[in-house]
Amino acid sequence: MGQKLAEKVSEPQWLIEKRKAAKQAFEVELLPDRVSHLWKYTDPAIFNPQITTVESVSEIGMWRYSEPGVEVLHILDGIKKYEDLMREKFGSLIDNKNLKLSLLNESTWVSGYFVYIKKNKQSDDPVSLTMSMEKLKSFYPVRNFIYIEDGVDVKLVEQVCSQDEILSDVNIVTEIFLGNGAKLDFINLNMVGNKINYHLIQRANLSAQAQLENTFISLGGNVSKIDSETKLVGEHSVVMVSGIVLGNEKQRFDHHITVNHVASNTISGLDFRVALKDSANSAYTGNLKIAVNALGCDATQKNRNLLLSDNAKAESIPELEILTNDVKKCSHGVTMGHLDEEQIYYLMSRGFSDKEAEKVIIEGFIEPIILKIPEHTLISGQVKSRIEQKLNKG
Amino acid sequence: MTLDLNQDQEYKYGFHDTENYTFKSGRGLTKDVVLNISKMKKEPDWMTEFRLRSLDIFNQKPMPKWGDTKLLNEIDFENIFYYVKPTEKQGKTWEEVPKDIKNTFDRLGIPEAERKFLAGVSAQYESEVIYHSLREDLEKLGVLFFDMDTGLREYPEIVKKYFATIIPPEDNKFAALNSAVWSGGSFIYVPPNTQVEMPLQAYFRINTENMGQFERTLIIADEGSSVHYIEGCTAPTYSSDSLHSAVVELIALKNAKIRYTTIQNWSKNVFNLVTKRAVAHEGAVVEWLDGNMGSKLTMKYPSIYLIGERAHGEVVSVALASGSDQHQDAGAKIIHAAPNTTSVITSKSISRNGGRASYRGLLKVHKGATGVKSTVKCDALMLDANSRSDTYPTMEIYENDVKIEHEATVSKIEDEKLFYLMSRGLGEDQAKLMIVNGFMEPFVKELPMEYAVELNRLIELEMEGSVG
Repeated sequence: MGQKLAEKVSEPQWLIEKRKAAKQAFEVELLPDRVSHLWKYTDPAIFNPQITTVESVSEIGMWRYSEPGVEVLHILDGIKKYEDLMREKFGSLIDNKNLKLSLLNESTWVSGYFVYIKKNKQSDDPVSLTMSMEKLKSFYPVRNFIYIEDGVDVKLVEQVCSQDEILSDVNIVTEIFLGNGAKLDFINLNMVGNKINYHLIQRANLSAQAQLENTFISLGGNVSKIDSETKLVGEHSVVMVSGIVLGNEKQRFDHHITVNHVASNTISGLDFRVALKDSANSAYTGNLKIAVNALGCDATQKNRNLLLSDNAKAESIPELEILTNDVKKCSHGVTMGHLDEEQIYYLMSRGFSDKEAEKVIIEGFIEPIILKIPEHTLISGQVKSRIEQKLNKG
Repeated sequence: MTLDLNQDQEYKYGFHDTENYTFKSGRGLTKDVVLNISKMKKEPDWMTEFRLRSLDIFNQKPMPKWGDTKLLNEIDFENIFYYVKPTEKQGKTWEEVPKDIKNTFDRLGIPEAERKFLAGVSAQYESEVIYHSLREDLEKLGVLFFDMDTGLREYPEIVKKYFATIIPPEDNKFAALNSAVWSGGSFIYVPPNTQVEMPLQAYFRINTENMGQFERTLIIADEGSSVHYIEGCTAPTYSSDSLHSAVVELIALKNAKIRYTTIQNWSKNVFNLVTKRAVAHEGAVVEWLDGNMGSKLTMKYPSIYLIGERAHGEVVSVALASGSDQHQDAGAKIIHAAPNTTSVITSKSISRNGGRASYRGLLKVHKGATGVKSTVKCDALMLDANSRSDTYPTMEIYENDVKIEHEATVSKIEDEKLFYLMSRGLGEDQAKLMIVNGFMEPFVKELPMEYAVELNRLIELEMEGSVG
């Protein structure tokens, strides 16, 4: 399948070889076992679709940029235009952790973005990468490659969306490279319909003094799984991960966030907020690693869960693996609970109905993360109306 | 005071006596070995069948795929003695206890401890309890405190009613192993509304190279009663690996209270793979105090099933991982299965000299368990750059009317604290020791005084070599 598509668009020989090897490996590779916490709560078989119709994410959603220093291309065009760079870097961040599903992507991907932000960038406007799915019963393997040059400061919004009735599967692999002192404000926005099985592998690599704001806003999907790992390989690099999950009906979310402190004096923070209505359920599994030679690191994780109905379920495993004692600070915290009755009582005494009070409290809970979306844009409007719709339902 | 940084602390109780056994099963585990154990103990048929069924389960279960799998796979099940019986008869009084065994206990300080405060000594030397004294007042209260074999012989109906109901052999591979070859351990039954004021105590000890210890403890606190059980163990140092795999079951009936204290100080060649679990009925309280100082690899997660309304569970655990040949994988599990139940987990770990300390825990709230409150707190102190600390907490919450908090921190000895203490005239090693002692305080303060003193001495001994 991969082979055929590759020929059609005349891929370079090395890429064809790569796909071929991935396809062979995929066929013998077993689905991951459920022992480690990565797949403890969600069956990986869900993301190994039986659907054989491979589709590209819609071109309509793609915004082409022609401004100086900002190169946003179809991934294949990017591979052809920057072949030397891509031969070296493309796929280099993909590890063995989630092998079956990354091989599935590697052998079948047909669309995605190539983003190259250069030093001569002038505009401060956020760059939007939209991936829209429009066909029923299809499989969308998507591959993104994001490369930020040294010292560049940029904001990217990756939005995945579909109409409500679309029943399909999506498998996205995104690689992010940050050069020395580069700053990226990145948002992954899951706005797909509630029938889509959504699987994302995200790998980010930070050089010295690079800074990544990595935000996940997870609203859509039937079963949504995110496996994200940030490697702090350069000294003084910083990653701040934020996330919100707003689940309703029978939605299932599973976020696995790894932060790997490889270099000294690196900093990481995590603020992950989960609010669940109806029979929605969420698993948050985190892994915070500090390597033997990574001295003077500072790492914190915070996971908050708000269970809004009797049938909502939440699981949380925030792991720490610390291999050196020379840590500035390393801690994590988890809270789980329902709405604070005193807060509701207070709001009701000010004239809110109980439903309104509940809504106001949930909005307050997720607001710090929603604020990261660029204001007064098409996207922020869409996100707000989706949240409104989810809160008002039921 | 100057200390040699590379000085290796000789194991404190690393002496051992000449072996003198009347029966030693062959190495390895077969159906015959299991049948022999059961026959020798003249057990009822149901127990023999239970052992054989457990053996099948043990053979079918794969090794765990989680935890320190590298170390776990070093265990050679074929090279272990599964049963050793030291003497034919159980000593009735201290005088009747064989001399060489008594010597060992003398050196552990048991007689003094008994004189001072102990209600009963159940000293497990090898696989069977050989000495057991119950003070008269305990007997008057109707409290049963025996080794497990005697318990089974004399109170088969109580044993049959509760045995393996909390930890069935199907639970895990090592529980199955214990169920097949168990020997010794304690059996305690406290009648309704009876308060046992003094702690009950047992010492454990491994003495034969390559010999496994598979003791089995069952404690039942009937309605409204209370009991505190202390288990402490030390073992002589040997060259090849020993396996210790105990099963401990606690049952706290309505409004009963059980506190179970363990201080584990196995020598550094022992695999300590223990299953400990308690159920707390309505209004009952169960507390595990769990100190892990020794062994090569400890995997132990004392658990509490809160199955009655308003039951309370508490686990305080400390672990000291010292040296690159030691991994303490300890933690706690609490399962809330009834409304208005509460729990607290406090875990403290110290890793030094390349040691690895892991906290692995589970907090689960079942649907319908409304009004649950739980706090989980894990603190880790790392004393040098090549040590390792892991935290693997799991929370599964299936009820919304709950209040759950979890916090974990990993830190080193802060320079400011050290500076402050040194500015008050303390040497650096004294200052560090004081900080470490302060860190362990929440555990130590819960122990009976003798134990607290001994534990402080142990920490001091362990800390020499690392500070200075």
